[in-house]
Amino acid sequence: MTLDLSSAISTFLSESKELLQEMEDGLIELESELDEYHRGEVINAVFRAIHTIKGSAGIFGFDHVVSLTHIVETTLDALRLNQILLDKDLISAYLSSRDLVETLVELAVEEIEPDDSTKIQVNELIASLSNYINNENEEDRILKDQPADIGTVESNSKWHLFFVPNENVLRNGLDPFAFLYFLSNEVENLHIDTFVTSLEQTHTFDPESNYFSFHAVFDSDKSSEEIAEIFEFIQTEANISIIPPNSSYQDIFNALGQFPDSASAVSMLENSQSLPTNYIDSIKSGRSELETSDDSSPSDTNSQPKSNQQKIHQSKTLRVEALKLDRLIDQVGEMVITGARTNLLAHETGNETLIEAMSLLERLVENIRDSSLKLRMVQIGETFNKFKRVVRDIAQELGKEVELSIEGAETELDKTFVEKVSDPLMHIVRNAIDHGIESPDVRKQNGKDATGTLTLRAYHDSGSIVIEIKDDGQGLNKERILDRAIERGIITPEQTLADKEINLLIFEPGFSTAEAVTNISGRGVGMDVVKRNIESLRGSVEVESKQGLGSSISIRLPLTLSIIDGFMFSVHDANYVIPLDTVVECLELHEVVPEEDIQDKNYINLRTEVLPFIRLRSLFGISEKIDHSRESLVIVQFGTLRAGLVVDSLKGEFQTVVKPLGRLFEGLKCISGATILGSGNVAIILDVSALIKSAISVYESLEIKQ
Amino acid sequence: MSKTILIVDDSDSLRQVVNIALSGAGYNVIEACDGRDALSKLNGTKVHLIVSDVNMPNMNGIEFVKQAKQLPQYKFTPVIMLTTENQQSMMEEGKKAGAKAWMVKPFKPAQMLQAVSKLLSI
Repeated sequence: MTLDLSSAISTFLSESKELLQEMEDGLIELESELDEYHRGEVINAVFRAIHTIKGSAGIFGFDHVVSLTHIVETTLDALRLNQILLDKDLISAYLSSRDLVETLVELAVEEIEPDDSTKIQVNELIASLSNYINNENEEDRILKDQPADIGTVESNSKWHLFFVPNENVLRNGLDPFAFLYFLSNEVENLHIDTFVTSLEQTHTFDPESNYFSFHAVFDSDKSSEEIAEIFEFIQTEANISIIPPNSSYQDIFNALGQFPDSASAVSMLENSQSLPTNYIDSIKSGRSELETSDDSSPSDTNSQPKSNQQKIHQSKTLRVEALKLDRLIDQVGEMVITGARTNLLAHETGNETLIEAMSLLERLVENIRDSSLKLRMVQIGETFNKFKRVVRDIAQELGKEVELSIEGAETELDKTFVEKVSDPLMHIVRNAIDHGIESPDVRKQNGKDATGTLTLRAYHDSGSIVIEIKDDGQGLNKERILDRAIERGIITPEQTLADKEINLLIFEPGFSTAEAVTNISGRGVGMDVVKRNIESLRGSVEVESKQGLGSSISIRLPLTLSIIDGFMFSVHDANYVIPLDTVVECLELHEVVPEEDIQDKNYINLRTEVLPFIRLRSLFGISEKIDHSRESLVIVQFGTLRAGLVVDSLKGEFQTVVKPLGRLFEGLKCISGATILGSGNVAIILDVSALIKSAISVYESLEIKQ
Repeated sequence: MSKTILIVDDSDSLRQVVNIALSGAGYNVIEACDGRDALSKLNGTKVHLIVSDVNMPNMNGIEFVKQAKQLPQYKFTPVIMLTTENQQSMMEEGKKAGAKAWMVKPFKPAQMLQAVSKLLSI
């Protein structure tokens, strides 16, 4: 039978990745101190993850995956039964198994046979994991063998089978005789004794009830599983005990103990005359002990870990294809534009009722926009959690002790950002551990705790999300940065730079201060790529550092890329939009700048703060001047920087659907996109962070001249 | 009329495989991702056979079968339990809960079809 399983295989791939991530999270958690209950729960979760992968991989016939997951599962099972101890080596082995399973799954899905080095790795892991349980198995076997040795007698060379169907078996549509008939075809020298046990009075006899029970003695070279299979479908309706030849007295005794009516079971055994009489006698005399022992307890203790599992995994989520979501948001964007157009037309008619209805519709559109954008928002915690492993591995490799603390894991940001920000974060985290945090000895000498702390923090701040990577290491070495920058020709020795600018030098291409290039960081690529990546997301990077106390890098990203609340103004009859969250206040220019200074001044004194401003007319190269009394000043803020923008007139709030600009406009500074207005005209979206920087640099260059 | 089978497993891919195999053989298939989900899907639907995993989040297979068997409509619906743990204690518990047959993962889709047709014809 051939089935087209390709869609199931791709499901398997994404499912395995999720499960492996869960497994990794669990393993990292196991490294910390946990109480007994919690620990058991985490082990169960890890076990279930690997167990599910194994089950599915087996169905697809991914043998390499199965063989590795099998041994991991077996050791985890031993672990949860407390048969083996969980030490650091075992966790490391599990972590490498996790990575290998991921590789194997990927290869299997692509139908590529793993190469030799992978196979060797797999075999090594299997061997080292087997060591854990092989030791265990030997002990186990010794324990098991002891009682068995005592009881085995050669005389009981036949199979015994007790088969006691319950009263309702016939009513439930099962015929016990069919199973006995089946048995007679499968085994040899079958002898069956039939007992009518529960029939006491004729007037209570119910023709639909079953009153029979059976004892079978036979010869067979089948395994007990095979014999049990014969009765597989009647298991729920009958008490069945299969006693293989040469079983110990204990086994027989225990098997009999499962019968509610053990007296009749014993008489079955006695009648068959297939056991030595001393057995029968012992069973009869041992019966009083039997009545007090409760055989349901072992299965009860076994059910304990099962119920614990139910507590993990509670949040209800729905998996939706990203493409569908993008399409929805596109359509909402179109709706916003059309809504704006309809609104405009409604105002033109001057029809009050229509305008009122439109404003209600607009509010609804706004709500739909907000909720559909929220669909794309995911918590950053998942991304942060990946770093637990990274930090652990890097720290171990470098012989440093680093603790990762995560704050604001519930902060939400656009899914696109999550994907694009994780590489830059990785670079920064590596750098922080490699260059920032000192080795334990150095830390102790400087009077710090031997374990360094790396903090990943996320929070919302005026319309953007800030991700902060903070370490308590040695901080940036300003002299070394300056030396290196001069050496690399990034700056000239004559230049004087503010602290902030010195720190930003680490993001220049080709810059590296690490004395030795390690394989973790310091190849001189990375930080400049980090900056570029983040700027391509319309974000910015800031660095703060205190010598000897640590440094912190903040990545600031806009909340979303597709639809924003904008603020519109016009310059020379063209419309421009900036994100509303960046606007601090709006002023009349002539009110804050004296008439005589209005042409050549580039800064104002706003409530004792020096604030540089930029004239958009001159920035866009428009030579025509307008009356100053009509000009407005929009004060914008991005991160910690502020500046003013001089514009012709203010248009107010505007729902902006961000449309990317074509490749032709890629190199343009200060422009980040375009949007379509209700009138059908195009408005340019300005890049506030670039505008502020250019305002500041114009102001500073003038300052230096003066 | 084709018979309806409920498949309960927390693995998306396993459900998909079983679904492909069973639908290919002409059965109607309903999927559920754990015991709780399965119970809500049962809710009055005519089901001829239940295939359920044991080890699942929210509600495990044994608990699910126990609860399903208490509903009069599903009292006699045969149940196949799926598991990788070929352990006597688990089988014992499943048997108590009302499972008719056990299937040890990993299995070939053909084996599943065989078991299903065997159970549905009794």
